[in-house]
Order: sequence, then C-alpha cells, then structure tokens
Amino acid sequence: MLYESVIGLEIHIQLNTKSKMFCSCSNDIWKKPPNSLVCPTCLGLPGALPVPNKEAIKKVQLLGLALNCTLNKNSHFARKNYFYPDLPKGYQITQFSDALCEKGRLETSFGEVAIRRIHLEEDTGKSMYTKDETLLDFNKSGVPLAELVTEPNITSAAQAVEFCKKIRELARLLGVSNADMEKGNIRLELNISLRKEGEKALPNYRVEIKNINSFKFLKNAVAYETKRQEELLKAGKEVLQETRGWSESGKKTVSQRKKEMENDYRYFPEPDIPPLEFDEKYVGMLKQELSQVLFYKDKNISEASFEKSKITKEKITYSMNDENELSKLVKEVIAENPAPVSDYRMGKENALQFLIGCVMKKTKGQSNPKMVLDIIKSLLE
Amino acid sequence: MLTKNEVGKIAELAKIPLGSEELSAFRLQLPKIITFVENLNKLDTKDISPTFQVISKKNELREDISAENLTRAQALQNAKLVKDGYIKTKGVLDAK
Amino acid sequence: MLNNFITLKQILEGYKKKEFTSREVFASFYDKINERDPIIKSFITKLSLEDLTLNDFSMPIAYKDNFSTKGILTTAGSGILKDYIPPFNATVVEKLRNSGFVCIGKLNCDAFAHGTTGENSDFFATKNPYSLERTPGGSSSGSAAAVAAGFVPVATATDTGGSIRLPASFTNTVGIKPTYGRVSRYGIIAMTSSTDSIGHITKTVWDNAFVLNITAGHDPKDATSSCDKTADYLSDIEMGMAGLTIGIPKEYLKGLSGGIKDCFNSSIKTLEKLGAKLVGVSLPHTEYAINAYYIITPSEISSNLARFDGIRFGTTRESFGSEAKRRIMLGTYSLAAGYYDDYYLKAQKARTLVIKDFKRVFEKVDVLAAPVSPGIPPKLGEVVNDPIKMYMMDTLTVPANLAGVPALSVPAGFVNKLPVGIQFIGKNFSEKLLYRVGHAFEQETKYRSPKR
Repeated sequence: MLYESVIGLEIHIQLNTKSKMFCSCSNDIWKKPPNSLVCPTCLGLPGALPVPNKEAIKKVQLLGLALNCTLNKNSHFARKNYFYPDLPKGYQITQFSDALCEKGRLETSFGEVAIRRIHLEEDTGKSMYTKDETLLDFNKSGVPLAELVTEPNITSAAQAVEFCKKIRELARLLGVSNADMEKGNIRLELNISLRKEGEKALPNYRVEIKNINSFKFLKNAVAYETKRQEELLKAGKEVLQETRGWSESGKKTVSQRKKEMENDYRYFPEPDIPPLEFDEKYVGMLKQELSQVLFYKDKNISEASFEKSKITKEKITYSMNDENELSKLVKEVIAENPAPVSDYRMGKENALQFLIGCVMKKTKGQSNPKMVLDIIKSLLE
Repeated sequence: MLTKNEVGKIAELAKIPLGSEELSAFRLQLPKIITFVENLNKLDTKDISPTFQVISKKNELREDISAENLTRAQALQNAKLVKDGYIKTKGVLDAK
Repeated sequence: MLNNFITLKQILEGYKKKEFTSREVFASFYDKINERDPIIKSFITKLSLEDLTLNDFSMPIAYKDNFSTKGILTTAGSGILKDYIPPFNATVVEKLRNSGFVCIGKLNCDAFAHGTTGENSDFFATKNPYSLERTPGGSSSGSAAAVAAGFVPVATATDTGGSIRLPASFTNTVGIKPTYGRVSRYGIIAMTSSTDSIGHITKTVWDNAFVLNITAGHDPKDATSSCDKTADYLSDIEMGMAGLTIGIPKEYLKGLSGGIKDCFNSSIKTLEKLGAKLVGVSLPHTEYAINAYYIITPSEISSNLARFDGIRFGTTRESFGSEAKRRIMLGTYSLAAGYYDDYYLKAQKARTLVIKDFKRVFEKVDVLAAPVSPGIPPKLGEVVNDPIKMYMMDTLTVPANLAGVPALSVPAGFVNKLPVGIQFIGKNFSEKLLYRVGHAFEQETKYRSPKR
C-alpha cells in the first residue's frame, strides 16, 4: 500500500517594526541584556494595557496582499488563555476569527499551496532551562509576530521547504521582517498525516510538530515522521493525534504529552482593544505601496528574487492603463515638483521613486508603476 | 450541569490549587451560581448580536515609535527570584 | 476655619483667601485619620505627613488600592500583592498629581474589587462610619468610609458593577461612575476590562465634578478611552433641573425594602418640586443584567487574573482569596470549550438587549432616577458567605455598567439612621447633566450634615 503525506505549515514571522506590538518598547532585541527592553505592558504588570502598532498591522496586510490573500474589512484581536512562565499575562493577544488576511496562495514548482490565513499576534518571552530552574527574559515578549497558516495541501518535504524559502524571500523583499532564521525571526511548525494514495479526504488525525528551527530540520522532520506514521499504519495501528517536538540531536520527533484540558484556550475577543476596520481607500493605498515596493526592489535585487516578485506582481491588476491619461498626469507631476525633477536630472535615482509615488497617488494606486516609469523617463530625457 | 469531576478539571485549567475543603465547598456552590445565571435561558437571543465592547470607536492604533521603557532594576524589582538579570522560576515542569 | 466638613471647594477658597496653609489642611486630615481610622480601618497604606512634599495649593487625596502608584505599595486588597510596588503610575494618578493632589495613602477594598461589602479584602474589613457593626459597601469600601469619616476630601475608586455607587450610597457620600472610556483605565488593576469604570467619591457634587474635570479625557495608553472632547463639568452645575424629564424605571422599584421605597418616593417628590417632569418608564431586560454580568465578569476576571503567577511579581496562585478563586473558576467554566456559546456569548447578547433598553428610554427622558441598593448596608458577616445574596446587592447598579452609561450616586436620606443614596443615570457622556441634576437635588435636600 502506498501512502502520501498531507502537510500543513504554520510559519511565525517576527516583524521588523521599530517598536513592539502593543507597547512602545524597542523591537531591536537581538543580543540585548535580559529584561532590558521591557515595560509594564510587555511584562504583564497589573493595570498595564495594550495599544496595537499600526505599522505591524500594515506589514501583515502587505504580506497578505503579496500572497493574494483577501484582506478582511473587519478584524479584531482575541485572547488565547494558557499558562506558561514566559507568557507574562497568562494569555496571548492574537487573532481567532476575522484574521487580518485570509485565503491566499503561492505557487511552488510542485503546485500551488493554499494559504488559509495570516494573523497578527505577540511573541512570548524567552525561557532558558537548566536542570532545576528556568531563567526568563521578557525582551522578546510583545514582539509582533505574523502567523501564516497553510491549508494541508503540501505533499512533500521538498515542497514544504520551497514554500518556506519563498515566504522568507518575500518577507525580506517586502521589508516586513529581517527573516533571519538564526535569530529566530522565522519559526516553523508543521502538521502532518498520511492517507492512502489517491484518496481525497483528509485523514482523521494529525500530528503537530514543533521546534523546527531550520529548513534542514523541516526536511528531516517530515522524512522521519512520514516513515514513523507509515510503519504504524502498515502494521494496522492508529496514529495518535498529538503534538511532537523535533529533536535534532536524536534525529527524531518526540511526543510532547499534554493534558487534553491544556488545549482549551478559551478564546474571547480582547476587551482592551477596539475592533479594526479597513476601508477601500486604505486597501488601495496598501496596494499602491506594494506595487512600489515590488517595483523598486525589481531594480535592486538578484535575478532569482526578481522572478519571485514577478509571481506576485502579476496578480495585481491595474485599472488605469490609458497611456494618454497617464502622460497627462505625469506632466502635472513634473510641473508640480520642479526640485525632484532637477534632482533626477542631476542623477539622483531616488527622485524618480518620489515622482512615481506622486503619480501613483493621483491614480489611487491603480496605475502600473512600470508604465509610469517609462513615461516619466521618456518625458524627462 | 457542573459535575464533581468537572470542578476539579476547571481548577486545573484555571491553575487554581484547591484544597479538599475548598473543592467540596465549590462543588456545592458553583452549581448554585450557575443555576442563578442560567436565568438568562428565559431570554430569546436568537437574532441578537453580541456586544463585547460598549465603545463604538475602531482602529485605536499607535504609531510605530519606540520610546522609554522600564530600567532593568524596575523590571526586576518585584520578582522573587532573580539571577544575572533574568527572572528565575523553578523547573519548568513544576512551574507549568 | 478648618471644620469637620471640609470640602475641596472650601480648601481651594481657603487657600485663595490665605485662611490656612496646605500643611494645616493636611495636618487636620491626619488628625482625624489618627483618631478614628484605627476603628474604621479604611487605609491599607498611610504615608506619613512628614514625607509629603506640599506646595501652597496642595490638596489631599487617597487612592483605592487597585490604582498603581509608583513606589507605593499597591495590593488591590489582595494578599497575592502584599509586597507589590509598581514601577509606574496609573494615568489618573499622574493627572491628579500634576493638578496639585498629593497622595496620603491607599485605601482598602475587596480583593481585586470583587465584592459588595468590602469584606473580601484579604487584609481586614472596613467599617461603616455611620454604624460600626455594618459594612460601608464595596468594593470601594475604604474610599467611601474614608471620605465619609472626613479622613480625606476625595478618594478615587472603581465601579465595575456598582463598586462606587453602592458604598457612596451606604456612607452618605457622592460617587460617580463615569461613562465607560471617559476616564483612562491605564494602571488600574483590571477586574472586568469591558465594564471597569474609573471614578471617585467626594462629599459634595461640586467636588465630584471638579475632580472629573481633571481625570476625564483620552489616554493614548488606553485604547478604549474615548477621544470625545470632555465637557467642563462645573460650568452648568447651578442650572437646576427645571424642565428636565426624569424617567423612573419601574424595574428598579421591585423588591425594595420598605424603608428604601419610602425614601425613594420622597426623593421623587423633591425632583418634582425642583421642576423636573417625571415619567414612568420601563427597561424590560433589567432583570437579566445581573445574570449576564455574573457571566461576563468572571470570564474576564479569569483571564485578567491569569498574570498572577508569582514569577514577575506577587506570590503564587494559592494566595488568591476565596471570592477570587470562585470567580476565576466560574469564568474558566463559562469560556471553556462547549460552554462558551451557552454562557459567555449568550450573556453578551443579553448585554445588547440591556443597551437597547437604555437607548430607547433616553429617546424620551433626559435622565433616569433610581435607588442604588434594594436594602440598607448589611451587617458585617451578614452576606459575605452567601455569594448569591452578595451578588444580588448589585442588581440596580449593574445595568449601567453593562451598557457603559454614566451614573451618579447622591445622598438621599436615612433609613433607620443609615444612609441611603439615589442614582441618576444618563446617556453616554452626559456626566455634565448628571452633575447638574445631582447638585440641584443635593442643595435642596442637604442630607449630608456639615456637623458629621
């Protein structure tokens, strides 16, 4: 009997904002002395309250747009209640229903991967374990974290790795995360189960695997777990639905037994934060920004990344394609901005970006930046 | 209805260590309070949407500006156990 | 002259006329505290007069012990925080400090503000200055008792389900529960995040409005604080209530003890005499508010109290008192998988109906008038061991919290020599109107004897 893997991924991406998710502590936490970048809010002191970071929300939405997600018009934060020493409030502020982004997709060479959602949450503190004590550093507490969840439609380790690499590239390209795996900017979890080849329905169990810190671990964990589950199924046994951790030293997954009660997170809408609402104008502005970013990066990044950005860029449509109309607007912009125009003529490439931005603004993000660029160049040269 | 077994489970989920005396007191008391609040079942709420927050405003957001925070001494001043700038707690199994 | 009935207004006028110095004012309050607080027991922490930095216009204030005060012990009445020294000030504390108020101490309350009598304090029960065998009401027991006993002209407090209005009514003082979001919650140890309202207790309505002028307003650190402009709560306070329509909700008159009913009826006559037009109104879902409240509140409490793990501050979770444990248990149950829809969600839907009741009625009336409590202050020990009896004391105060609307409790006379209050409830952000009505009522009745 042949089995095929059914794999879903959860990718946590630390956002590179200046300040943390719900407080104004610096987000530049790498190698800082323990507990030196904390405040009443991220330390969970009684009475302290969260106020969401506008930029973090925007970054998740940019990522979502680039991955062809739908941006929810209405969204809100929720509390996920569980106890852990590095979770200072005894709950994590995250999103449950109405995530910022839903239903996206990304092409891989093995086929398209469907993205279920991308939501925004806060990171926990950091625990360091010794034999009989735990040392806690809360600098990481409150770092903004995008959590991307795929549908379980990845079928191999190779596809999973390719998908994650593409997400990492995209996060860097968009400037939403430093995406440095060694610094823990990207962390992976997967769920995996097996079904008989040819079957369509999802298996009636799934095994979650945590503690995957690199693409190599990801590959190894999928390989190990596929084999383990296959052996159980072939022997006519059931695979236990559970959470396991990847042990790189043992090259195996290890059961992380949890009492069933502990999985009851008692989600409810976060009463300390009013709901979020995004109008068309805001989304238009984000689309404009996305096209600018992708366009600008086109000029500066390697050929490989260029290919990737094209994948996403092609899916953005521009309703404003009339060349005459655009030329008119470009002329207006040139007339209104003599200084940048002369800067550009002096050889300052940045000025060109500025002028493109002005045209994009006039068209509410609906013009193709590549077209705008060509027109500006033709008019100024 | 809240069974005896459930009271224990809820205490575990809430991480409230209950002595046997407290446990038996709660086993008697909690069902009474639950019956009291279940008066709500008389109310037809089928087509009513919930109100989680009474304020009508939305998008109360903060600009991404980093500012002052606590000094390390302030951050640690109320912790019972501190080591090398870390806050210390017992072994993770125990603390969990 | 410093007499026993010294209000903020009298202090301010005295300073202007140079009748006394701030040190004399503070010393006179400290004299009263030293004389009677060993009996009343309103303070958890008292700062010594010598340690205070006063200027010519300093005014004394004491904070309910769930207000974070930088460098000053803040317990929320709970043993779990018996050593907790906040490294920051609540926004309200900061605002009052910048306006010349000097903290003289922290006041007792039910632990984490869970209670209606003050007896759930993990430290000691505060006594009612009007009858030492009775409770001053809760949860702001220390705040109400301290103001009533003349220890301080103003004490801050919190009202999540009636915790300001109930003790104010039991101690012949004036208590405001502002509109939800009118005053910042930042730095106040949370009970129920969606209904916590930050107010204060004073001797007079004028003083009360004076303090709200300082505390009200948007706080960038509290995302739920309102951006609406604040009013000058003193500007129309003398305008009286002639021509206003005051609604008397029939649901609030059910189950009142005999004395309370008579007292309320005489208050109504006063309102009429002052030129208000009275109309009977109905808020049909009032009965359910108390049920919904005792689902929503424990649910949020179970989450808000999860941070007390004894690691970064405080002692371990064993130290929670029994009421905190009870509420954490109930809330954990209401939010648990399989129960959420039947309890938490159902309660939030009931809340929608309570809000609709208020909206509908405020299309017809300017203000509602109602009793604050269905009975007189209970004796110490009378209700504390019967949770449902204790919860029922909140029946008339809880609806305003669920809806977020403001309410002002003003002295309304005495039943068996024990103080009774009346509450004026208004639509969102109508505190100015409530003060106008409350002030007119107070000036007409003068129940608070200056001699007390």
